[in-house]
Amino acid sequence: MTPEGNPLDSSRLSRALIAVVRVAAAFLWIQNAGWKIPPTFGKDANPSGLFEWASKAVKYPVFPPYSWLVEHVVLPHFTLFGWGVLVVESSLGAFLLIGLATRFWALVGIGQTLAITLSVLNAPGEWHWSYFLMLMVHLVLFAVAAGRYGGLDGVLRPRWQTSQSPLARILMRVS
Amino acid sequence: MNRHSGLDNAAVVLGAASVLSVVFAFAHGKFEFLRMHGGGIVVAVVLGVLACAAGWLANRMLALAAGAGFLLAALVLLVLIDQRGNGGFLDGNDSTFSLWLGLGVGLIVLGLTPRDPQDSTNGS
Repeated sequence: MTPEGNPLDSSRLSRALIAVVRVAAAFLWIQNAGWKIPPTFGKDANPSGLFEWASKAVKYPVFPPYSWLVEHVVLPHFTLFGWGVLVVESSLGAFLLIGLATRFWALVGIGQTLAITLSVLNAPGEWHWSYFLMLMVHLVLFAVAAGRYGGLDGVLRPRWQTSQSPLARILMRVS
Repeated sequence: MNRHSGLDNAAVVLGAASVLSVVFAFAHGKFEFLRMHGGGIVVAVVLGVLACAAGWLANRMLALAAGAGFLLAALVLLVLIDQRGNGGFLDGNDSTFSLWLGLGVGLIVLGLTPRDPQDSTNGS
């Protein structure tokens, strides 16, 4: 395909729209990090927050082995799990927002979306397409290497390309 | 004349994003993507302006200082949330932490990246 035939090469609007999608996905994670509140993450006398949502994997099973894992591994060690979720989702918001190592974080977003989907897909009131669309957005971010458009990946890749350092080679692969 | 490199322009964008995040002080409900009140506004404006200055002046040390400031503010906020259940004097939440984490990492990466001579006509 000639450069003229590729919208991302020839159209500033297309590149800007990819950046908009990346930043919107970042804000999805940023906003939803806000209700993962340490130190209990909702594991109280009246369960709430992340603990209540994670428990739905057991109450409304989607994939029985995953429900078993949540019931016997995740819920008994919930503080550790809560911190893990907070770190992963905060980092997803942070790195997708600035467009750094974007393809790596898109893969992490796919993994986290699958975990959420397996937890709540069958819960009452959930719109299953919410989770399918979340998955698709992260697949697109990975496919188009979205950080190269209006993100730090785009600014830094020329330097990583000429660098001999192992870190630069890794960053080339994950951006 | 191209005075600034792409790295410097990126620092300006990250700084401007921080200053613009103050708009969330006026947001409610579904559109309050993050909590921005009290001392958090001071952090967002002061460090955001510092990051803009770093880019405008093509000064890597200023970018590093702004980035370190954001990471420090993010860490203090997280400790406050963990210990008090709220953001204390920074009056933010985990969403604010996520934003500051991104701005901090981004500015530090920009500050640590050496400029090439061809980046800018006046160097940095």
